[in-house]
Amino acid sequence: MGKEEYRRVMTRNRVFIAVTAVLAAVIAVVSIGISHYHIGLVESLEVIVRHIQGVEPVGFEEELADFIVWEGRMPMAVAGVLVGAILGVSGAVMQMVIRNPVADPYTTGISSGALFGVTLFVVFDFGIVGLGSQFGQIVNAFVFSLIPLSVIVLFSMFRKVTPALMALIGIAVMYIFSAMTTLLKYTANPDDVAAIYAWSVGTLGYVGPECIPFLLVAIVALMVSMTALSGKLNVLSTGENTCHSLGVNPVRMRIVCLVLVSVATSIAVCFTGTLGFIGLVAPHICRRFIGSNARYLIPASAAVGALILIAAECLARSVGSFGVSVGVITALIGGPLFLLLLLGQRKSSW
Amino acid sequence: MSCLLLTFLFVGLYISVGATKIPFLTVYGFLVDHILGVTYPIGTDEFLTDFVIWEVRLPRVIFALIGGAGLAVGGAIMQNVMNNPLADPYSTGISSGACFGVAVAMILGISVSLGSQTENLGVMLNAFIFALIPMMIIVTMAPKMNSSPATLILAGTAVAYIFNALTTVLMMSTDAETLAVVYQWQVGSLSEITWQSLPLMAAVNMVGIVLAMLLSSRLNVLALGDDSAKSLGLNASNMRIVCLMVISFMVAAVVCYAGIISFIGLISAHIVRTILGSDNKFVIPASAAFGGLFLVLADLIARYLSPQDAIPVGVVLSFIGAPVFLALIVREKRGVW
Repeated sequence: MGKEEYRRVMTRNRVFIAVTAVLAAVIAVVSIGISHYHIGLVESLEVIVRHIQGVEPVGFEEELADFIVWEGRMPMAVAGVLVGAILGVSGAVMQMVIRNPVADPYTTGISSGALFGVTLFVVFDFGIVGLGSQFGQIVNAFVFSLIPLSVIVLFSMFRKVTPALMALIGIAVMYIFSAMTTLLKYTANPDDVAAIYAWSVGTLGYVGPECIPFLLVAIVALMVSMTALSGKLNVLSTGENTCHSLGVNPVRMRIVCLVLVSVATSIAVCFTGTLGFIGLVAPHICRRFIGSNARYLIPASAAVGALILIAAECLARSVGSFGVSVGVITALIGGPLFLLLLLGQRKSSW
Repeated sequence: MSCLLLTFLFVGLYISVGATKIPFLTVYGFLVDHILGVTYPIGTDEFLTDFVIWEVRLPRVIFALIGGAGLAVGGAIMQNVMNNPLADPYSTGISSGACFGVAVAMILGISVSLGSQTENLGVMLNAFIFALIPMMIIVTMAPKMNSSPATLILAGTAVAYIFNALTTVLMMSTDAETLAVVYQWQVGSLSEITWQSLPLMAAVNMVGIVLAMLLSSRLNVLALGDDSAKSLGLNASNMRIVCLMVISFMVAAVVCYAGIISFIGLISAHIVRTILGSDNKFVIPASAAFGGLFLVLADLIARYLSPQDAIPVGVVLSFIGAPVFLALIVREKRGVW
């Protein structure tokens, strides 16, 4: 590849990232205007501007509009972008670290741990912190989702653990948690089971303005650390031997990445439930367009993840009263599109 | 050999445990008597015992033995073919397809059996046919895309997600009771097994296991990578597709009777590999033996703990299998993957 061509490819990559990011932002703004309340996009934006300027809403109508937009749709739009980005990046990093195309952000067992925490809370009212209901459930989900990860870290302290083994340990712990969840569900009444099921499907519906700071911290930390580590991630994906000769400690590198990614994903999961598919697919879509260089793959995955989630959320809301969840839309529309993408692919990027 | 002996013991133990307790040794007596054609007058205790052993527990234990073996071998082949340690027999979306089939039958009341048969049969047929759909999608797609294992498994995962989403749509729209029934099916259980369940399942899986053993040397070649396979005269993509089809039929035959029994397919092959290494000539028969025994043992424990079938066998599988696997990882020094 000549220098010129290299530059061209790099420019193309940057353009790809910029375009998807802008698209995600635009859709996020549009999504503020979509819901079954009759408050259009322009009106919503006006409400936001007024709120920011500190103008007190006058009268019931305006107060209601202010509440709906500021407490409901705004946080949902922002959270949609942030969570999508977290899942996209986490998926990309996880696939590189585990060196497995089917790895996703939940490969270390986050989803089943979180689900167990939620189940404990719903069925037994058992919370690690005995505070208000919503908050207790979130803390439970967060803490339990990190248990499988700590088992992996514990194991890798005592012996040399290959990436595949890391994933397998995570999966083994995952099965123990799912088994316990299953047992608990058998003792629960049908309504509790339905509630747990709804949580496990994942939705942006529970997100309130108080979640945004956490998500923001998570994505910023994740992006900064992963951008800093992207050179080493590239080395890591070339294999163990190259790592040693280029002075990267593969084991430590893997653990660091795993911990960072898992904590960020846990933060996302405890607010939204387990949104599948995005973390798996976003990095693959990016690989198809811009290749596997981590420097570009990570921001691109963030942008594409955000785009997919917010677009699906828009669709789910405009389908309206059926109560179709985001997870369903992502899989139903994203799935076939992804298959088409695979069909068009000539060489494998793995 | 030791496996055979263990099987013999387990089968006896299995039959003796349950809602009606039957002494361990008399089980063998009754089995031999039945084979020899001894009949008991209707209504006596002996008749009842014979009935429980022969009609309820024997088919179930045979199903567990063969089904477990089939799932384990399916997992071993899938991991090999996909070149992926995280693959299991359901990796290409078989379980999601079957689940959707069951949800369609139970929630929408639509089944392939044209309504003339019993409801149960409709659910089963639906599960079997829908389980094969993901495989068909992948097989039709395969020639048009690059058939690297990564692409195949990704396509499978995407198909699985699509079917899961469809199932979710159905499940969200139904009432809590139907949800519980479908959910129970998703967890998997051997409680519905009778003699009628056996012929198809046993035939398909026996053939599959034998086929896998015959193909084991080719699977070894495939594990070396596509280039080596080519230079050794093996068409890797065709081999993969054939294996995929074989696995799909095996697993679909188990799933449609027993629901989705997870974990065993993933873990059996790994446990066997940590002990025996990764030569498929040994891994496949050993996985079969281990998987069969493992499922029998797990179902035995489940029934021992709760004779009324309240504990799904999948739960027991996870509770025993995961710690054993973790312990093996700690002790084992060489890396198999």
